This record gives sequence, structure tokens and C-alpha cells, in this order.
Amino acid sequence: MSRAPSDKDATAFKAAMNMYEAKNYKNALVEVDKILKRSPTYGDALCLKALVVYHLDRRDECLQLVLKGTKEAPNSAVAWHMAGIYYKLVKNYPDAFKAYLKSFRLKGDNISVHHDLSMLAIQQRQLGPLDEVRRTMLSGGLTIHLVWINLAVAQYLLREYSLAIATLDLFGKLMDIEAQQEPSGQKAPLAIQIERSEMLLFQNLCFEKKGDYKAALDDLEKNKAQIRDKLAYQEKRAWYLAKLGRKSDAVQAYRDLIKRNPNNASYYANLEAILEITGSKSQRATFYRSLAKKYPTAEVPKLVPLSFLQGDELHAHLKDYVAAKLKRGVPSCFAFVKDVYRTNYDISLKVGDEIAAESDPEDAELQTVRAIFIARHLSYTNRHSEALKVIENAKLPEMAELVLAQAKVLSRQGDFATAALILEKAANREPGDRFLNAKAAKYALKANDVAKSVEIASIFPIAGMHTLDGIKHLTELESVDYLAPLAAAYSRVADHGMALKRAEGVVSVFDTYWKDQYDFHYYGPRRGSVRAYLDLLQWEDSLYCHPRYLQAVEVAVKEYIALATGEDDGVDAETKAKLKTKRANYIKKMESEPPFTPKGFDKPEERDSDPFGREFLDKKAPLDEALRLWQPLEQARPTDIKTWQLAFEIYLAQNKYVLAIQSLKKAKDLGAPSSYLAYAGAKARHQLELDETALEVIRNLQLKMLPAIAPEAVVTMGLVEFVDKYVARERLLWADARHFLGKTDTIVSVLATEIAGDIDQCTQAALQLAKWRLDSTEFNKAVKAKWPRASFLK
Amino acid sequence: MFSIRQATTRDFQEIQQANLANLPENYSLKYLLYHAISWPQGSYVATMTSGGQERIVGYVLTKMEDDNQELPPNSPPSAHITSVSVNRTYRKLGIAGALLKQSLRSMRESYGAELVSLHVRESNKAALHLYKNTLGFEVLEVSAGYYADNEDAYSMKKVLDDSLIDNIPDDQDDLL
Repeated sequence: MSRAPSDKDATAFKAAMNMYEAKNYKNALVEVDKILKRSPTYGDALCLKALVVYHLDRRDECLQLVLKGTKEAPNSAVAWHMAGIYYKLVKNYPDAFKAYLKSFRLKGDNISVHHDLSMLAIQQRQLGPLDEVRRTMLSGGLTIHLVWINLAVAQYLLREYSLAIATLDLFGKLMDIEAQQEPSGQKAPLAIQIERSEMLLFQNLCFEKKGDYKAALDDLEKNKAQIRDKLAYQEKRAWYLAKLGRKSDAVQAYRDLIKRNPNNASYYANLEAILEITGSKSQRATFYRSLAKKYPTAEVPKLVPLSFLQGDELHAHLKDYVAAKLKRGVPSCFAFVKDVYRTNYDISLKVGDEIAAESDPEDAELQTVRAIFIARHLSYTNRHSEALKVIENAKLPEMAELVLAQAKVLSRQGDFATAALILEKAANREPGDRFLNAKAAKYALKANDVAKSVEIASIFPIAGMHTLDGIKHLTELESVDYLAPLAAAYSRVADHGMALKRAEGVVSVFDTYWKDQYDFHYYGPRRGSVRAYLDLLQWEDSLYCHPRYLQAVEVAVKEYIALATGEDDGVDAETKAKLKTKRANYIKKMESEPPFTPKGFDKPEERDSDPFGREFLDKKAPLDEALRLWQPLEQARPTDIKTWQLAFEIYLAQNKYVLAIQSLKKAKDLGAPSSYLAYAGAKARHQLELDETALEVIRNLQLKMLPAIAPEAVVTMGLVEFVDKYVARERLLWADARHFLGKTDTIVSVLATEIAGDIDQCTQAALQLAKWRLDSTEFNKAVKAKWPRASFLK
Repeated sequence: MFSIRQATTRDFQEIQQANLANLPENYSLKYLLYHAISWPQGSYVATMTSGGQERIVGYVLTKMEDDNQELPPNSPPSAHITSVSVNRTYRKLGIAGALLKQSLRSMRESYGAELVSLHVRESNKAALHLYKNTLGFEVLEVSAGYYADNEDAYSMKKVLDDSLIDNIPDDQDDLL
């Protein structure tokens, strides 16, 4: 417990504080150092010093000062406030929130603490403190718009919709009074009209959320004149009318919406539901026929019938649909009808074949577009060489859309190398087209030609600049759709440092996405766009569900586990040594070059001091890193089997058997396939048996848990026999199990006979066989027989 | 299924990635979120749903010039098209025109926009044709070296009025 500061210290502290607030940091430092010399445990002064040195760019000292200051003065609202400011500056919002909350609890009347705590509480989704501080803020000034809006937002998030409505009612009255103070006869300025309109629609959303559609509709109609967002008005009104069962009004409302935007598929679906025709094919057919006639340029009414028509009707409609698209020369025609191949394969096959049998048009472009459709049709129905022939006969062989189709067909036959090559050429023919550039970069990744891909992907970000590669820029530009597959490709080619560097790069983009919302807690409500802001919160809440985050974490977890367990990656020592030397030379050369300032910049480019990801390979506890990346998945994807499969692998690598088996139990409860569970059970038992650090009793206890997730035999049968019996259905898992059991004898021949027909599995197996250093001649032969163009075999 | 709908804030990360895969001028998500929250009614997306997965194949981002310090005071409320793109393979379907029409109508209704402006690359003949002939934009001037790679831009404008609202006879033909 700290003593109260002496009068002298308190006065000096106030002076130092004034200097800090006047941004006179140098003098503030002199003053605060004097205090600390006399009283080295004065917590407030320690925290103030942290802020002062922060602004003097001595940032590595700050955290220690803050920690010491708050330890010395745990009951000082001032110390905690300053600690909070520091954490906020470094965007450590979780600790900033805790510090501000402490300060608020110790002394609840500081307006600036209220303001920041209100932002931090929402950033941390701490709704209790959020509501508390926002109610407190009302006492700060009832004429401040933001105070009202923020309180209503807090109440909305707490699902206290009636309270939010009441708050907004009071706020509305305030706005009315303000409007009356405007000179009479004059319309309110546009900005105020817009804010008012947004508030009314936010309040209306509260009625909707309450489930009181009658009140919501009445509210909407009452404010019709003031609502500027006419689309929202129309959409909400139609929805409420439908909910209230006011059939004919709802029908009219949706017809008006279709008139407004005849390409919005949801309007049609809602209208169908209200008309209660969803169950009748003939009524639906009539419905869409008349709408297609009324809106001849709209896609939706022509497209929907493909999803429900059957037999001859579907045949005729599909044929007409495709013919019309081809007549217009639409290259994406196949994408529009692809779903029909899933729902009605036979008819799709027939229609496609009939179209293929028709004669070609004279026009070269139309002929080529037709070739694209036919080729994709043939490839989708597993006639790949015929598909390629059609492409070869197209009149415009260099049309980019044709080349894209060709690359797709080649990929489906495992010829990733040619696919990448022809796309690179197409991109070179049209150097200004980023779409082609992006496709070429992605196909190079599929071909595992990472260096080529990086070269292509760098073209746009570094246009006009001299720099090492463009990936740094792409990371700054948050290009996760490229960076995550890039990380996966590095992992495939056993470039572990780069795989981790790019995967961690993706993770850091997602962390930035999360922090990005902070300023909007202020800006959104201030601007009045509360509905758009609430959408932002909702998006951020599911941020870590994003498939690109998952992809990056899968790569990183795999790499960190391999790093921790010293797994053999199948690359021989000589190759590794060569690469190491090459990279060391590269770094030496880079460091010897003078700093480069790109055109239009005033500072030289910042160099990447670790261009090959050494820092990640040097991590002391790689499995802790894996767990850190996995944790957001536990929050965001708790019902995804994948989440628990990853947890199992991490915990097993840590020899935490109970947690590993509990993760498997979760996977099992979520419906994980039995062959996977048998595989994982075998892996756990195998490792337990080899683990000499585990006590026999404990080991036996843990073994006893296994039959809860895998067949009983997992603890009684020999493991090789067990995996042959229970994992065989999933050949790649089975091969992996055989490999970790050290019984690799039959792997190659079994894979050769059993998976050669499945190109995706072949691609994965080829990588695994190389990694395991198995002689894959027999496998390669079998794959070549089925897929003569396959380019991925080692 | 294909659909054109107003973008919500939830769409903007995917719009960001679509933009990165289509155009040389790119934006941080933070800027795009600023865009989304400042002018929530202005942006539209075209989506394709296949196998239950909805994917953005085209977008238009439209803003008001209310944050443009360079405009003279008391200028009429003006909209500006920040970015528009449709995946190359989805061209020839009139998607860009349909997106723009929806967006301009919303800008007119929600923000009282009286004008809309945009820049287009001099070499982009298809876009120029769309703006001029389909949507009725006029070329104001050529902005020399407007783009980072020094290409010139046409600066275009269009007056917005209530003719944006489609005139389809309101008969009952489409009823069962």
C-alpha cells in the first residue's frame, strides 16, 4: 500500500501533468524524474513518466513503468487512467479496458474516463459496464446527441429493446426542440434530415427486434415522410406486412420492390412464400414466366425455374436459357447453370450434349464463348480430353476467358503446370488486367511454383517501385485471399519459415481487422449510421470464423507442430544447406545495398529484416504459438469438427493426453467420421505407449478413455491390425497411420490401386509419399495411367 | 442463384478482396468501413450463390462528396463513384449498369444527390461506353496522369433527377 504523496510531490506532479498536457514532453520528463528521484514509488508519477517517454519515442520503457506505477498505487484512479491511456495508445484494448474500469470504479466522475471506457467496453463486448458507463454519461450533458445514441446502442445490444425505444423517444424530442429553434419555414439542413432518418430507422429496428411487427409497421408509417432511406422503408414495410399476414398489401409491397430491383433474388422468394405457391411447380412456373416477361433484362426470374422445374420442362427451359446466353456471348454462362448439374445431372448432361452437337456460329467471338461452355460441360461430366479438343478448336485461342476455362479443365486432370503457364501467358498479353494477373498468381500456387507466383503477384503492388518483392505490400493491403493460399503453398514445398511468416501475416491482418473497429465506436453513432455500425459489430463478432483465418491457422499449426516434434519433411540435407547459403547471401546483398526511396515517398522503404521467416523457426515454444492461433477458433467455430481436430493435434504434441482425448470427444459429438476417430485414437495410444515420461498408472487411465471415442478394439487389438480394419476407408488417413506406426510396406501399392481415380487425393498423396521418402514408382505409374497429364508427380 | 442487393457493412471485407483481384487501386479495410458507415446506402453488390455459398462477383462503392474539403461551399450535394468492378468472366450481362442504377437511385433518395461524378481510365473503352451511352454521363475533362501508373482519366459527371425511378407500367400482369 502506497503512502499519500507529500505536498511537494503532489504540487510537482500537477506541474508535470500540465506540461504533459501541453505536449511539453521534454520539460515534463525533467520534472517527473525529479519527483521520482525523491519518491521512486510514487505510482501516479511512474505512470505519467510512461506516457511522457512514450511521446519521446522511448517506447520500450513504457510497459515496465505502467506495471510498476499501478502496482505501487493500486487505488489511484489517476494511475489507472494513465495506464489505460498507455494501453489504448498501443492498441492493447483488453488491458486498456481493465485499467479504465478500475479508474472508473475508484473515482466515477471523470468525463474523459467515461468517454474512453464507453468505447473500450464495446470493443471488449463488456455489455454490463457499457450500459453502466453510458447511463452515467447522461449526467454529463443531455444536449449531447452522442450520449443518447450511445445509451440506446448499449440497450439494444443488451436486448433491452423497450428501453432503447424509450431512450430514442427522449432523444427525438430533443431533436424536435432543436429543430424548432431553426428559423421558421426553413427546412432542416440535409445532414440533420439524414441523421433524423437514420435514428428513426434505428428505433424502428428496435421494434422489429422486439418481435412487435404491428408496432414496427405503425412506427414506420408514422415516420414515412421523414425517412429518407426509401429502400429500407420499402423493404421493412414489405417484411412487416408479410409477418402480419396482410397478404394482399404484402404482395403489392414486394411487387413494388421487384419493380425497383428486378435482380434481387430475395424479393422473389418472399413473394412466392406470401402467395403460398412454393409447393406447386406449375404455379411457380407461371409466376416466374410472367415476371420474366415483365422484366426481360432481369436474370433472376429466368434463373430460378432451373432450380425447381423437372423433366421436359426443365430440359426446354435449360436449353433456352443457355442458348440465349451463348447468343449474347456471355462467357460465364456455365457458372449460372452449374447447380443444375448437382440437382438434375441427367438432364444437364443431355442438354449440354445437345448444345455441343449443334453447329458453330460464324462469328469468332460467339464461337469461342460457345466453346467455353461446351468445354466446361464436358469437363464437368468427366470428359476432359474431349473438353480440351473443343478448346483447341476455338477460333480465338487467346481470348482470356477461354484460357481461364482451359486452365480449369487442365487442373481437373492434374496438369497444374500447364494451367499455370497458359494463364501466365494470358496475363502477359494483357498486362493492365489485374483479374488475369490474380488468376495467374493463384494457378502458379496450385502448381507449387511459389517463386513464380510471388513474381506475378508482385507486379501490381510494386508498379513503378523498386523493391524486393510485392508480398510485403500485399500484406499491408490485407490481401488475405492470396496470402493464405500462399502460406499453404509454402508449406507444401517444405519452406517452413516462409509458410509460418505468411500464415502469421494473415493472422496479423485479422487482428488488424479486429482493432479497426475501435474508431467506429465513436464515428458510427456520431455519424448517425447506427444500423450500419451494428452490422459492423456483428461482422466483427464472427471475424475469426473467416475461412482464410482457418486456412492460415491450419498451416501454422501444422508447421509449429512439425517444428516442435522435429518431424522429417523429406527434404535432403544437401538441398537444405544450399538454400540456407543462398538465403544468407541474399540477406548480405540486401543489407549492403543503399536504402531505397520509392518515387513519391519522402522516407526510404523499410526493409524486412527477416525476409525468410527465421524468427518463427526460432520460437522457443512453437506449441504455445500454435495454441495462441487456435484459441480464436474455439470462440468462433466451437461447432466445427476441424476446430477440435486441430486441438487434438496440438495437445497430443504437448503430451497433454486428457485434453487431446477431450477434444476428440467434442469432434465425435459433432459427428466426426468414424475412420477419423479410429485414426486419432490409434495415434493417441501409439504415442502414449512410446511416452516414457508418463507413469504407468496414469498411462493406463488415459488409455481407458479411448474406447469412448474409437471402437473398443483401439485398446485391445494390435495397432496395425486396428488401423487396417477401422481406418482403411479413408486411404490418406490410413497411410498416415501406417507411417507413424512405422509399417510403411504396403502404403505405396495400396494407394496406387485404390486412390488413382481421385485426382485430389492423388495430389495430396504425392506430397506425402515424398515427405515419407517412400519409393513412389508404382504409385506414379498408376496415376499416369489414369491421368496422363498429371504434373505433380515427384 | 444470382442477385443484386444493397451491400451491408458485413460485405466490405469481401468487397476489399474482390477489388484486390480486379483493380490496381486498392483500399485498406479501415477505409472501406469508413465508406460503409458514412454512406451506408450507396454501395451494392452482385452475388452468385452456388452450392449454398454466396460469392461477390461485382460491386459498386458510391459516396457523397461531403468529406471533400476542396469543393467550394454551397456546392450542390454531389455523389462520387469510388470504385466499380465486375469479375471479368461475368461481363456482358449488364451487371455494372444494374449496380450503378441501384446505387444512383439510393444516393438520390437518401442523400439528395444532385450530381454524380467518376473517373475512368482512358483505355477502358467498355466502361466509357457504359457511362456515356447507357447511363448518360458526360465527359467533363481529361485528368492527365490521374492514375498511379500515369494513365490519364476521363472525369465524368451526370445530373441526377427523378427519372432514375424506372417507368414500368404498373399493371397486374405479373399476378397469378
